[in-house]
Amino acid sequence: MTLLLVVPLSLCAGRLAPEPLACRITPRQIEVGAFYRGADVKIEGTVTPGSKVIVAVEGSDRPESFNRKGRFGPIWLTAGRVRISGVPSLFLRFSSDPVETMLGRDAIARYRLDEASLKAGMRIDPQGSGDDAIRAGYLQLKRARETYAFAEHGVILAESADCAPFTLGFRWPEKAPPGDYQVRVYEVRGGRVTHETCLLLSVVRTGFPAWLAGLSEERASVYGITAVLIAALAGFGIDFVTTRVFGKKRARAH
Amino acid sequence: MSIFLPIAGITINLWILVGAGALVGFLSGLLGVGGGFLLTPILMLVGIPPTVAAASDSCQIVAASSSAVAAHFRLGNVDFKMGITLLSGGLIGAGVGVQLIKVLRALGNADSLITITYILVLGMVGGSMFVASLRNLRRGPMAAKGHKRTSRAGLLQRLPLQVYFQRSNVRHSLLVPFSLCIIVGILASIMGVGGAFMMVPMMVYLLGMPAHVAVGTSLFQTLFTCAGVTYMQSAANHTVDLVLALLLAAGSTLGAQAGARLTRLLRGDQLLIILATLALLVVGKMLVGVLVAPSNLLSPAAHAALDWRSLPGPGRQFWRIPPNV
Repeated sequence: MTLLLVVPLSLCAGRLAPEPLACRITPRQIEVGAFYRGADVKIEGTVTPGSKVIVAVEGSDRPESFNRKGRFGPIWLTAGRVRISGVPSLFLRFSSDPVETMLGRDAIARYRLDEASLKAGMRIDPQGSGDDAIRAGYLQLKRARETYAFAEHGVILAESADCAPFTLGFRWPEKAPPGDYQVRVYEVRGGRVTHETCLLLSVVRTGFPAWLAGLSEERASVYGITAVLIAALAGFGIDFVTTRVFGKKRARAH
Repeated sequence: MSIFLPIAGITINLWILVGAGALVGFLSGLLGVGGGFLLTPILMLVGIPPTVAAASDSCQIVAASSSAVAAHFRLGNVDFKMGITLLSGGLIGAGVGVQLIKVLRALGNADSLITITYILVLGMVGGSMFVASLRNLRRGPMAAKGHKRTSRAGLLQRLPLQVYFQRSNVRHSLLVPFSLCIIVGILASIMGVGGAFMMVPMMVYLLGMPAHVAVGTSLFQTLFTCAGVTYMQSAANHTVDLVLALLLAAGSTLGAQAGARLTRLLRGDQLLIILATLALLVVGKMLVGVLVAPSNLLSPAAHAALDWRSLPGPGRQFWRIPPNV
């Protein structure tokens, strides 16, 4: 039986505190095994008739380091490192209608629902003159990895007399790393967010990948020595096999 | 067929990895280069995080070079005495280079200096090797020629600690290969590469070793260098993905065998001209990279080890599995 998951808003740090919005996510946990190829995620719920829905999936605001290119005369070289923080590692947005038609500029910025608001919250260290280009470059990299997406559709609303059920189905990106993700669901009516709720989605390694990742973290020296030995044995083993198959070549003078 | 890479944290088609490994292993067996200059960018292109790509690449080089060293050993192409001498000099040079990098980074703009050094050194080595090999190819087979005794060679042979390297059929003071490898090690550290691109020409042109023996001996040194790097990356950064490395190794060990066997069919000059062409192609690619305005000012940072400790707690634990697993 699929559990109905209603997570209090307090789990999602500091936004407005409206009544909880009833919705559920399946699966609640994505298990990443050896032959994992992404997963289908479904979000269902109900809103007040006449309301619209926006869903935003966010990863943690973990800082990330990048090389930054700069111009030195006629040539472009790596001018140093930048650390980008204040933005989610993953951001997927879906809605029942174009977001701009549902909310005003201020509300979109407050709920961080478009590129401009994400760029505005981005912190770049160290700061420099080309920060706008850095912000655009960050989003470009994320889009290329398919971990940032801004869809103007996806959420399907069905109107009825006393409630409006909605559904959203999407493919979880293969390149999204294991971790905890927040799924924020906004009910929008009359140009403002009337209800908001937050679901948690965990992506966890299981089986052999989990064991190997655990070994590399907790017994790093053993893992390192094992990796070297396995690699060397693989190399000598292939040599042994090819020597048997193709025959031994004798030494020669050069 | 796709597979999940536990440390990289992504799913990828395994035939892409096996194919890339085979290509790089072939070059490794043929030319004595590690192939990291080629493989790391390929892995980053298919979505492997840069830190994992660089570290796992070292691990697969252990597999490819051990396969190639075994093949070259049977062909009589590995000079162990020279290899150990070069390895010890190279390790000292690499240690000095790492400290030098720290100083350069503290002074600022070290990365620009590294890029320019890379282009200049690789361009000069590749260019001079290409010209010399082309000249030799036009004259005739290298094997027929002896190395001329020059006044410089006479000077070098008056140095102390003279040793005969039987497999290479050269006599040198231990100080000569040792010192040269310190310089190569420093340059390799600054440039962030294994150094085979410089090591093989140095062995051929400065130490007078036959090209085939230079390739086999370079691989012997690469095997130990990359084993050390793999262990250190595992212990310090937890960025070696064993599944990724073994898939790459599945291709590279076979490719290395093919490359090593092909060396029997090629003359020394032909090997060197292929290596020179490859070096010049890398220089050409880098020149395009620095002259053409980039479409994105940001690029993933490949060598995170240098600033890994500066990351806050959650960053360091990025690859840690969740506690509920």
